[in-house]
Amino acid sequence: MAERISHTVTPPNIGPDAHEELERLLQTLHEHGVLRFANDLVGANTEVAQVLVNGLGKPGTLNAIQNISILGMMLSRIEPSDFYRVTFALRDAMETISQHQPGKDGDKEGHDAPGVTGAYKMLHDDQLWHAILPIVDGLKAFAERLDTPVDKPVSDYTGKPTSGP
Amino acid sequence: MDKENDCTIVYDGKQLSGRAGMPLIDFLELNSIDLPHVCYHPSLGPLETCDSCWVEVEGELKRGCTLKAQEGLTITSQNEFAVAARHEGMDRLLSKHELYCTVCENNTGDCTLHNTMAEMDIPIQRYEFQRKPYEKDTSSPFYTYDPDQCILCGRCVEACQNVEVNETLSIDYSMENPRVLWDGGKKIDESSCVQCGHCVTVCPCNALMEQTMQPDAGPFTSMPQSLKRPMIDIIKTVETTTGATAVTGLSKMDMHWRQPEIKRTKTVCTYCGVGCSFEMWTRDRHILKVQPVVDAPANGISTCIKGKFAWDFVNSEKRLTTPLIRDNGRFREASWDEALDLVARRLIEARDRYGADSLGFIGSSKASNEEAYLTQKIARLIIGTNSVDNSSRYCQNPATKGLFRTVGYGGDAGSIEDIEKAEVVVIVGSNTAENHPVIASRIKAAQKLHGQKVIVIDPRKHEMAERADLFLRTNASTDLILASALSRYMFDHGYADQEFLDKWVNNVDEYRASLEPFTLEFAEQKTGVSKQELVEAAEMIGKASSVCLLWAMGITQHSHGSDTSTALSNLLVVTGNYGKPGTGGYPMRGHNNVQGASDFGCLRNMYPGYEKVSDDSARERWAKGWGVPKEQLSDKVGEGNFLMVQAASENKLKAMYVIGEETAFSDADSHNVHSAFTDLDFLVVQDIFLSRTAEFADVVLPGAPSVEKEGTFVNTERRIQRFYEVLPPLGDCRPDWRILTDLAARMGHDWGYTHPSQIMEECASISPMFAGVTYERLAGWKSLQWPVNADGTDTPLLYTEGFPNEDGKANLYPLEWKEPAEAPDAEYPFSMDNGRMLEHFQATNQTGRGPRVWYEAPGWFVEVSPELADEYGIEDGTWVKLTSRRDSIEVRALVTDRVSGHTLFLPIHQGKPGVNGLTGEHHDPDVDTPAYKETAVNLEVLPREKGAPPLRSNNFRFGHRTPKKGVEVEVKWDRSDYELPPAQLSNPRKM
Repeated sequence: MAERISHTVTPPNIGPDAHEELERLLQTLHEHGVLRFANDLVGANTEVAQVLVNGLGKPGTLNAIQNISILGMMLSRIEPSDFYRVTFALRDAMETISQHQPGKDGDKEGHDAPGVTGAYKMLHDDQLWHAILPIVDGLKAFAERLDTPVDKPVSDYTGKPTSGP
Repeated sequence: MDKENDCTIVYDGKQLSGRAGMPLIDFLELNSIDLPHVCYHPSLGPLETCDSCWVEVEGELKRGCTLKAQEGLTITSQNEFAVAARHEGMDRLLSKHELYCTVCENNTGDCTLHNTMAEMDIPIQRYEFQRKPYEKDTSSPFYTYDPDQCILCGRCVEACQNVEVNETLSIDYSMENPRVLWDGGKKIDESSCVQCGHCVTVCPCNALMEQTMQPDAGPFTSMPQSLKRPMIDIIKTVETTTGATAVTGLSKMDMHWRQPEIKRTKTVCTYCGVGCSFEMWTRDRHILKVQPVVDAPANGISTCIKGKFAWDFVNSEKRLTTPLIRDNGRFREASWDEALDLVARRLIEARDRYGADSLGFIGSSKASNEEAYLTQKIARLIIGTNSVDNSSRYCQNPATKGLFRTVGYGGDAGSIEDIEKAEVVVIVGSNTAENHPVIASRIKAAQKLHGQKVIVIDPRKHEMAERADLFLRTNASTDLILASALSRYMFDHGYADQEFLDKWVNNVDEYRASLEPFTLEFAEQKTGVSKQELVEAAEMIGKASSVCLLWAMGITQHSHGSDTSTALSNLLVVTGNYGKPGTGGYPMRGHNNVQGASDFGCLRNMYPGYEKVSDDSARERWAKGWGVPKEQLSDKVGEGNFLMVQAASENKLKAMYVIGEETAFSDADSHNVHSAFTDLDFLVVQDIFLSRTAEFADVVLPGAPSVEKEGTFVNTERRIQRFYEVLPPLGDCRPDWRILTDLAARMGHDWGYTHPSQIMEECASISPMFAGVTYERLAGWKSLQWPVNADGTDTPLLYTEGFPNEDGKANLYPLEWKEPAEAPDAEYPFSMDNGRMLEHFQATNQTGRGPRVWYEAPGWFVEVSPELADEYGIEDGTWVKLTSRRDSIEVRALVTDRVSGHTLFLPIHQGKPGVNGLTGEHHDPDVDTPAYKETAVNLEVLPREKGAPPLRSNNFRFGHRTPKKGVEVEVKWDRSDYELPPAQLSNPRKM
């Protein structure tokens, strides 16, 4: 005679517990060499820290850190569209400067010093004029880019208008 | 040029070969070319809403999704105009969808929008995203809709309107702020939505998403909204300067690093017999989602609420995970060794003391074919009895009997595809939309899109009856008369297929003579269907070039269910509706593997492959296959479930082994069943929960659900499909095939199976029906429909070359109508119909294991007709007492015109002891199937305060569908502010 039994089952564990998850993480870290590196890093922590501190303590590094901070401070006060305009104007100027090609030997047309008044001697210094010309071109490009209105940097950059993401 | 590659197109100057007529996008994909697209889906066709697949053909821009491959088609995709148009299309989509992919749950690799946007390398979106004036709809326990993420592509609408055909979802593009609408503007959970998940499955982004994906599908997705929102805003601000490329790079990395922790596994649904297969996405034990795929042979992208969402039971805390042994009136946990040793010893002792036939085995219609095979192998080979059965005894054995009598195979004549193709589909005694929802969807779609005619014959006006071209509301238990009257009409009016009858059919004259009593007048008088309606049905069937006939428990669970099933098959034979595409008889199998449990031998009279135990040559072959002399196998037909329980109550059966069946709840007259179980000397129950049946057990063995093991199932269309292990078995539970293998070893038969494929291999080597079945041939989405020849060729459509009878012919089987064993009378004046609800499955052992499905249909009730409600003063929630000849139950009433007159309807899922407290032991004498549907009851209104309505007012049954022809993209095109890309729009968010 087997009478009906009402019984509550012991609830099973559903899914990995923290220990199992940790075990899996350990295995993955091991397989991908992260643990080896971490071991190496921790095992050599004093030496690594010493190298890091020595490096950080040098005047040049300290200057760099401070300068980056200043840049950060400055960047945080510039509207992105203005910054974009200036940086890309600079880029255009740089490009123009870098594309300057001195004339071939004997071909001095357009590269002659103007020399009328003022720094008469300087203006007649063809060598100097050759040196300045690319910078002037660059300034022109810089000014031209500065004069170009930019609505959205990304639109200017990609050539595709946008009203925002 | 071969058949697969019969045309060549030129795409961007390259010659590509493929099949003519194939949609261009699919054609290109086969050639490893990805034409960007978002709204196109191979199961939905071209919707033309996303405008992101433009190409140029003969100097003109065309949407790529609308093109089909044809010889000489020349396409350019890379010219400036086409590229600009595609980018404009994508920009319009992105104006409606906020990109925050790295913190979005849907960025798991299958987000069409993300992947297309990334593939197109969109540098920045043209139009600013702006929020819509709608809140996210989280009202459904299963999925959410976020209008802010919705791109209005209409995939969900198309799937709802024309694949599932529930016709709930729509988009009105003429609205000020268009969005997806449920029933024209209700919340999801207050609409006619049946939670089938089609819309979620096809959504190309995160607008529609499973609740189980939220919030931690990705490593960064579960952060609180208070953190997520500012993070998104920060990225969006930066993006206005940097462009989207860097952010897209991050989201692509995120998509990739999610992959190692997400596992996608093919499995087969464990609910009804449609045999839906799909991928199950998991992260550890968490089921992220069920994702149907186009390649699934039975269902494609379709599912129902259960297949898509009802998997909470898998991780239920109530799961059995350790063996239990009855000990001094309680269960104590035991080791597997102790439990299996005890079971082996007690079964052998019972056999040796009382004889082999004092033991009975009930195999599971939910377990695999391999497990069914081992169950019957233990019973037949080790114990020596043929008393092994499965739950088809309670449902479809009468149908199988009817098919054996007439055409010869105990399975559906063809495939679901044939049902779709049929000119006329006749549904008798089957609430297809709730019990086999995916097949119902195929029929609804064929009717809506291709003009298929549907005739429904049923006492109950269910959804298919409402949709039918002709609904014949019959009196209960009179379907044999109706079918036979139709057969007679066919002969009398020249609709009998004489050529077919002459060539393929025996007993035509004898059968025709037997139809003499079945006049239309007699049929009208008995069935309650007018002569005119009978003629209309007969004319539709007679004139049709192809007819499929579906039937289910409304036919079989009667005292003469075998005869009625035979009558239906007779009708198909008379009209020549076998052996041709779009024809045949289709008994709808109710459990995922009730077909397979029978196919693989859990039948009292058949070996696997339907070979009779009394057939000497079959017995010899099986004995040889198992390495024993044939005398060791009994040739005596055993007892089925129903008679096993009766034998137990008479103390003739001493021990039973029940696997995954809730016999204590599902067998008729449950009081007698409980008493019989109490009287057994030894009862073993193997299940995934401590079921009502297990409460009577001496030993309870924790089996594993299908998602925790490998194996195969057979669906209603005889399709053998393989399922894979999604999750490891929970706790200390074990796959049932392993339990049975271990048990057999302890009984002296060490079979040594280490994988179910070895079990299938053994069966295939002995059974001609499965000769060519191998796991390799079933790999992935491949399937085989039995019979399967040794060379692996299978049989999607039966009877194309004759019938499996000695002379190769079908038989018409003469019948007489007999009164039902129990019918309403003066004392019990009401006929109590009963059956399933869409939301639940059987005893709710699976669907009742979590709050989500339960919330949809929490209470038990009886459906009462408006006429009866008027007569008795019954309203929704009124408490009534139903009394049968066995017992009484008290339930709340639900007034509905789904039932009429003095017919009631009681869902079978709820209650204790449930519906079978009322049903009786009267049964079909041919197959011993209880006549559950023949239950006469009395109804009394209880003098008790009215309860709440048993179905909440937001139940889908009260929703108001909004049928549309599909996505109404023309409305969008007709808007004055719409222009074809690449032209830019002033406000693309509005369309």
